[in-house]
Amino acid sequence: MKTDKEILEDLSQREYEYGFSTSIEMDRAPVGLNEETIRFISLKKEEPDFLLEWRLKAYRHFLTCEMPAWQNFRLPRIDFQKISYYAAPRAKKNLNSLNEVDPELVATFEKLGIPLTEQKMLSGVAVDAVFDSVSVATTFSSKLGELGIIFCSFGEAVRSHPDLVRKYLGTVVPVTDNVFAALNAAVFSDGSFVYIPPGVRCPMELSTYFRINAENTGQFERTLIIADKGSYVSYLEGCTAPRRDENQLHAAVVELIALENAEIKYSTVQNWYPGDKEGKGGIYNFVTKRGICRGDHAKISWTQVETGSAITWKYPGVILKGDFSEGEFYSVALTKNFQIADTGTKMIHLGKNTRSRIISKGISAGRGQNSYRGLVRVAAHADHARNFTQCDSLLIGDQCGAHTFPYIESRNNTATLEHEATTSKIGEDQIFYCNQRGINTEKAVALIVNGYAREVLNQLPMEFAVEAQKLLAISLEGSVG
Amino acid sequence: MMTSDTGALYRKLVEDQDQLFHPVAQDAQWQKLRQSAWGDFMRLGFPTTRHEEWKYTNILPFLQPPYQIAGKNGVHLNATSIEALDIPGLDAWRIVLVNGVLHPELSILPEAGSLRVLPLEAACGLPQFREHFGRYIETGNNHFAALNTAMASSGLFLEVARNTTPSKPVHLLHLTTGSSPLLIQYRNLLVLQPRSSLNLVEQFVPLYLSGDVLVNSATEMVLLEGASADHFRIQNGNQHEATVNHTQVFQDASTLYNNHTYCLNGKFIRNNTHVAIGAPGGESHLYGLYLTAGDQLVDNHTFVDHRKAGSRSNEWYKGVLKDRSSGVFSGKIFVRPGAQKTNAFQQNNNILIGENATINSKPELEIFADDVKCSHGSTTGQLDEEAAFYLRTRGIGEQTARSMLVHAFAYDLTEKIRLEPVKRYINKLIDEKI
Repeated sequence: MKTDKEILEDLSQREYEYGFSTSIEMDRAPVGLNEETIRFISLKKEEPDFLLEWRLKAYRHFLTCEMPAWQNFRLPRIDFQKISYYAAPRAKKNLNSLNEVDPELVATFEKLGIPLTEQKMLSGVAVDAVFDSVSVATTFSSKLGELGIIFCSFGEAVRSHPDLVRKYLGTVVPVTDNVFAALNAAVFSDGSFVYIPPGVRCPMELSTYFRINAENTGQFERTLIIADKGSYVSYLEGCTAPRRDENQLHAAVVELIALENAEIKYSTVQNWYPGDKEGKGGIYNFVTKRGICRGDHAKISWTQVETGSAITWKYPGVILKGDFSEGEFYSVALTKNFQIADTGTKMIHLGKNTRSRIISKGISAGRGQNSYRGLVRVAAHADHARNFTQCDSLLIGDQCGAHTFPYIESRNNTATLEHEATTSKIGEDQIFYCNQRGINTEKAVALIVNGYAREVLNQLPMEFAVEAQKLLAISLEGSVG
Repeated sequence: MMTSDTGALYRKLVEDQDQLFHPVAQDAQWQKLRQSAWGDFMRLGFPTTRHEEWKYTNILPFLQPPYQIAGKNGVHLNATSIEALDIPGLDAWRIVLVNGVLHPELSILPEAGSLRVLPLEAACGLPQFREHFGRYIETGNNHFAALNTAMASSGLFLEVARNTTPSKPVHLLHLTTGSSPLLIQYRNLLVLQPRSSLNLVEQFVPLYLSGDVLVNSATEMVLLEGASADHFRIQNGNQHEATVNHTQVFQDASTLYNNHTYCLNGKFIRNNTHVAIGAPGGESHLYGLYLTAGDQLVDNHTFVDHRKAGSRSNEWYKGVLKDRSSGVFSGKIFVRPGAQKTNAFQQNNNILIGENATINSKPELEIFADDVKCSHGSTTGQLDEEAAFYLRTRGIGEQTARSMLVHAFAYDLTEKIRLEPVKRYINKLIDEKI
């Protein structure tokens, strides 16, 4: 049997499994950021005027922003002028079937196991696959269309449903929210758009796979999901990225809007390229995700499994505006080698009788740094608000770090807020117990980590839960502290 | 760089700096420390809510009064008014500081032996002073501590001799007095020599105070190997008093430090309680209770720094907030790389009674070692209506029932007090406050 040290070394030296890159002709914007770039993107995407103006407004705000300094890691300098803001596979007009899609692209998706092909449609996942910046294939649209559900690329939504886009875009994450949200609003290239009409329960999990491909191309996705009164939708987002030596910036924005009695469930499995074992390269995953429960009895639930990226920095939040609305956040974040995760959530209680629940599980190995940063705010009129927060950290190896920064703010004397956090390592007694029963150390650790993360993994839809478990197992099997 | 609009007082301090920098007892080492701290303060200025450490506390209103810098001249108070401030039943050495200046004529000072008490400036020639003074408080990123280090020249030096325990507890009375706006700054250095122990009851009280005061005090407390201390702080100011207090404790091997902080009255109280456990076997317990009413703002920041392997800490802060008052609790447990076998616990419980009361709680963990047990918890809630109802069904009036519940809430902390007279006294103060 391997010694602990060997197992640890193994773990820290394991290289990224999905590292390959595809050569496809790219249609790029000139490198650099200025108003011309934004006009170029807007022109390329044949956007209406209101959107261009909105982009320019965001850009002007972006120019006034300073880079934040409050985060719990050193922010690498990002040269926004060295990024190419638009790259799209050369368009072949109006793709109707997969046969028309670039075969090399399809092969890439196959390699990633994305269910784009016929037999994979049977698995019941409608995929809006984003290759770099433009959606190239959308499945199940017709079936969803029958129910009145709109599930398309952002660009298409702008063209065919401009009123909906105009009504909701930027209402949850305004362009002035933060520097990366402003940047995204200015230069976002594409993304997904979902609208569920009143009273409709979306019959399948909607899913998008993101994949960064072009070198030096920042990926600026924008997702907007609107669940109208009494509707339900479950949305999946997952990513893998090819290996790359240069750092790449990923600054996406996700906005969720749940009206009265609606429910949105948003799940993420994130496995961007984390950099090599020296901490070189890797993706900067700086994402702004926020949902709003606009109507009474609305519910938004975030679930995330974060295993990739050199730096993961995001706080999916919920604004609980409607009375009796509910917000949930379930997270597993795993960092190894030199990875950094500064993640958590924001629950803003505005309505009466609102409830929120936060379960965060951090796992740090190698030299990974894992921070939970969460805000629970109860406004003066949010009577009888209720929050439960639990954040646990698991440390594997003596050079990693686990940090907890909760912010608990209450202005209402009827609020009941609970927070608890623990930090520990995998108990030697637990390992010993497993060994005793014939389970080797490697398997025991996988077992314990899986059990530790179970509460979160259970929230994932079936297809994702399997992938997430596999990811955790790949990253952590046999890591004994 | 001046980053805030807290300018008037800042400008006044800068303008008067020549006058404020009379060398203290011609001591070059101290003077150098002051100058470097002054540089830090010039750079930092006063904090604004944009600073993470001051996110919830806007200091601006407390900087507005046209403060004069409190001088070192004695203030005449008669001994009987001081005796009234003694804690009933507590037989203790009484040390009286008025506006930060030691007044031996009002104090009951110990004979030579276990305890040595000196005005700070008189101690600056001592080797103990040279070894410890200014060594523990860092001024590079701490606005008020920088200002204090730069300007405070009065205060107290207290030393407990090796292998001894003073025959009585020390009752340290910090009085503030005056009728015009004053900025009061003082600095204490307490050194507990190896295997000594000390019971210290610090009390902060206004006396004939009718002008606004801003107190900026700093205390360094060193526990050398095997020393132990029970440290009580009873903060009971009035509506004129704004206080910023920085207490820095350094613990050597096998030391025990217990801190009991009671924040009762005072328009504004900010406590920075920093404990650094710098050697194996150190143990600290921090207990705090804040009862606020009216427009009070009480802000407790604690920082427990586990620097070496094998240390323990336990922290428990509780608050009851009435009316429009606000409370802030920010606690950090910091475990440095290599500080294995650390066992740290932190808890913060709050009860909001006032409809417009606010609480901001920020319990933090920063852990850089894997073989540790660290946890924290924070709750915010109400007085248990069912418990109140139960008491009332037994014929207990509503007021009494509520008072009983608050006492029960505070009991977890008051029961830790080992000095009976202090416990009785604090319970009485809690009663008065509710």
